[in-house]
Amino acid sequence: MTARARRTYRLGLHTTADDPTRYEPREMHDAWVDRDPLRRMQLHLMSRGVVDRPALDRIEEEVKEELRVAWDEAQQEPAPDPRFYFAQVDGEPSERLALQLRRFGR
Amino acid sequence: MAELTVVEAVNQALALEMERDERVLVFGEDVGIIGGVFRATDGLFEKYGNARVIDVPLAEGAIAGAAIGLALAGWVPVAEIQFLGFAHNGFNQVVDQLARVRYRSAGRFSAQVTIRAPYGGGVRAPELHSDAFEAHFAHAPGLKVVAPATPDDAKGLLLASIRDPDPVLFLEPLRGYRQVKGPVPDGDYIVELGKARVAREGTDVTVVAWSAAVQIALQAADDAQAQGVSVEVIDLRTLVPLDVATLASSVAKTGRAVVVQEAPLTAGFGAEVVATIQEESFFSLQAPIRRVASPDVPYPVQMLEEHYIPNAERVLQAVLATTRD
Repeated sequence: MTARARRTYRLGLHTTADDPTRYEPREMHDAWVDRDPLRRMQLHLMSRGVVDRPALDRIEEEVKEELRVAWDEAQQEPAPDPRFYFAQVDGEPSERLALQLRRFGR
Repeated sequence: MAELTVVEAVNQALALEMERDERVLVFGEDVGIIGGVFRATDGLFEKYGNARVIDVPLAEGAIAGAAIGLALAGWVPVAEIQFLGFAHNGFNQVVDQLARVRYRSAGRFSAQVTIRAPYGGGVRAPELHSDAFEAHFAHAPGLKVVAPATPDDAKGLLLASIRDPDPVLFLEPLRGYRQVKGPVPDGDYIVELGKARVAREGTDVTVVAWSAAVQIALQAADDAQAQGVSVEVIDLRTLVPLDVATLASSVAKTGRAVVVQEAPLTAGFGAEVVATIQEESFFSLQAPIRRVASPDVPYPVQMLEEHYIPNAERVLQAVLATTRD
């Protein structure tokens, strides 16, 4: 068996209310941006002439659009049947839980 | 049918289930070579070896966390927390992780885990070794909480708990470990989870208790009988899921109820019992439901504990008072 320890760094905001400029030194952030594996792969592929910047920009736009569509679709989903959630608590729901389900949403 | 103590009955259930089901693993602090600080796991290490009876480091989070992983890998872990008060060191693993395995996997996985822990006071042990913290765990959806009072229930409920496909916190009455003896069937049997027991039939007042407090309730019932008051004692046996029907049918008969808990009063499991009786049996009630509990202060030094946890006299006074309400 092999155990691996990996140090990671969150470059993005934790929530939209987060403001890393209040606690994160700019130099620290920039140093980790330089180590971002996605960015490094992009630079690597460009240096090898596999892709150019316009192609990467196009891919990024396509992915963003894909996510936008998926997000919109997910928002259209109806709320799940509460019976599904109640059924995942115990193998056999208790009488108490069955009663709570009958009263749920009423 | 042998006459056993509670701790002997627990030991017999563990030995029986390890023999019956090779997936059963027993682990915890001192459960192996020593056989448990209360000898609950006595003899298991010698018989089944260190691959199935495992002494682990003093880390309750790791005990509960390992139980989750082992269960998902197909084992049936029966972990011991040496005293329930120590379980808070593993609270996240038990309440936030273990209890939600089935829910988080949308029913694809379940964690067939039993966590055994002695609990309750009256044995001249310090705080955390004596606290009745059952309510902390009864509040977690997905976790069953079982609290037997007698040797035959301890064996039958432990076997049912180990075989239950979902996690069970199995609370053993520390005070009753050796004080409470009774006949225990020899072979394999289970006591169904979620079913209370009428420990004594009566007609005037229902006294509800669980774990070690059942003995207090029975003593108070004897004392009340001497004063002409007939007390029915309900031993809940399982806190989650709660046997509402047995409570309701008893109160329909008596019209009066006293709930006994060893834990401090505020937000104890007794409050859940009182609220449930009120919801189900309000129109049967002839008097307010009374509670007998410990005061809302941390567990005291041993010189004070007899006054701290409910005793038969306090239960008797509550019973008599409710007949006068």
